[in-house]
Amino acid sequence: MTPSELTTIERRIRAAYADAAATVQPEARVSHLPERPPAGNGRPGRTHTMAMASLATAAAVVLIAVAAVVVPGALHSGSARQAGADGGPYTALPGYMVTIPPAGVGSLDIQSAVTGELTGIVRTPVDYLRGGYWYSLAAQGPRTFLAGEVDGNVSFFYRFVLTRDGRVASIRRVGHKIRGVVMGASTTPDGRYVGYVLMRVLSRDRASTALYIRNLVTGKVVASWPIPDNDTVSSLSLDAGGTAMAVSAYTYRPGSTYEKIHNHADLIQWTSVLVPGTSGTPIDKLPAIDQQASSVALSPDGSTLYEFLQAGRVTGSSWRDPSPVTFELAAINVATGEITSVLHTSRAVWRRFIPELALGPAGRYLLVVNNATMARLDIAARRYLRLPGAISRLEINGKDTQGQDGDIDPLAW
Amino acid sequence: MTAPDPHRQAATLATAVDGTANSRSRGGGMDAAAASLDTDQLIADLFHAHELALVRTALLLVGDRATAEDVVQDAFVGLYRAAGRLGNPGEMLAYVRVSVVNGCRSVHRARRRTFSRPGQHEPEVWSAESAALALEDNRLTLQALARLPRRSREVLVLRYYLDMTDQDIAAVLGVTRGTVSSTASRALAVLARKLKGEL
Repeated sequence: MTPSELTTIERRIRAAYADAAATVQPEARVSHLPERPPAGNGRPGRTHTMAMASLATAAAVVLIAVAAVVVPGALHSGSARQAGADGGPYTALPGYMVTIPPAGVGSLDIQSAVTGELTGIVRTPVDYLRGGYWYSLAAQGPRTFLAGEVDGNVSFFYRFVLTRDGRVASIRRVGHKIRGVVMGASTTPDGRYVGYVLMRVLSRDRASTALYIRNLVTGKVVASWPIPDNDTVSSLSLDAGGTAMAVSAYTYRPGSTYEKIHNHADLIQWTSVLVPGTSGTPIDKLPAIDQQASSVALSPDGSTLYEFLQAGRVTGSSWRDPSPVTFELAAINVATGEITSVLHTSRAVWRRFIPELALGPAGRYLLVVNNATMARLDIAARRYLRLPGAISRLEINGKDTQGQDGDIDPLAW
Repeated sequence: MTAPDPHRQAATLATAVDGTANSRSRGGGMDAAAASLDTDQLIADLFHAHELALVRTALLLVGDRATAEDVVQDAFVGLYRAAGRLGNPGEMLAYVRVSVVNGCRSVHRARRRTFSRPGQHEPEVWSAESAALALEDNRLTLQALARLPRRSREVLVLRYYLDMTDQDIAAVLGVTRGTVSSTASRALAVLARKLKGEL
């Protein structure tokens, strides 16, 4: 081997190692310091692996629902690999948020979560003039995001990483193409799993929609659930292990034209938390929290669901009520379906209130955005801090088009 | 994202460890509980400073992140038990590195038992699916590296990812410096032959 060849081979080895090692990003780390084992000379237990094994077993057989028999301990044990909301090492405040501009011109906006300033944009790899545009968005870490691009009737996921000053450092395609339109997505902090809603056009006037959880490393679909006819997904959120996915959707009474729907139809919002063990079965809705929520966020350990709920008595026609109503940002125990706490309240007319929730990857902070304000909620400390600026362009969607053309979770941080 | 410099981390840790060690010696008659707390803090500092590099190192040896994390977690569980008999707190990093390498060897042994046919198990780092995550030439290099004998892989990871000296590699692997050098030379020659058409 010549010195030149040696240099080349050494350079290639370093580059290959660096590239492979970079798949573990510091901001996406989810393991933590193990607890000191009990005194004794026994072999250290592989609690980490065992916890995941018991979690997988539990996930295979358990449907998390209000009336279901569930093993909260088993679910919680999954947090061994997940981000901690208790002041652990992954509680860094997200510095940037990314939004899908409603105008849909083939770019994503990157904004400082502190000042609201626009720091960069993410263009589609395929020029939007030739048909490519961003349709879905999810946060993987404080500066790592996943976005779904739609090109005709085919979708691709891309992962992009931001620099410290909020510009795009790198962007790469992840996984294979997906036939259909990925309309909304959520991903795990390690980037291994993605949950998404996919619409497939079957014929000129017929389409099917379903929810999926896919392993992006193997490319395999872990679970899928068909969405009932006449239902439209408005938000979804995956836990840190990819073992549960919260979804909110709404139902319009069928057989109505858009005009009739808009002016007269009842709207029934529903919520569910799905686990892979129930793949392929009809979605079991959570009736206890059927309170017109439109944006959901699931805690990293999958035990708590955050939603804006309308307070008081809610009917199918409540959404047309012109008088102000109270919205409560509730924390809900997934296992029991009970509201464990109300983190914040807002008062607004339903049709003018656009609640968007985005949970930081550490699970500690919620970004709470509506058409009027943007705020950061420290969940543990119950601190609600108004932030300067707003994502004004969310207003373009307007409440009137809610669900008709609006993006699913157009906000990630 | 800039990868953390393992050497800088090691220096930082050494400073932290030395400082703590001095305060311990000044403490004189410290009781067992306080000593245990000190040890826990040392281990926590070590974890925060080196966990990422250790997981990445294990990833390069076992090929998938979940297993790599498990190996590092087990190494730290073992460190809790071994910390009391480690004479110098500065030895903790060396101990954990050895544990990680040994843990990766155990993973390979277990895989050999599980998968009867060699090569049936394709960890994600060098699997075909990783093409989307790694550049093609890097993937080819990783695949070639994965086919090297175990000791060659360990030497190359420690030398070219952690930038360790042959002396330090010898200490981690429990072999002589000459063995490290000859193993690396053979491995590089094999790689050069395999990748010849692309160099």
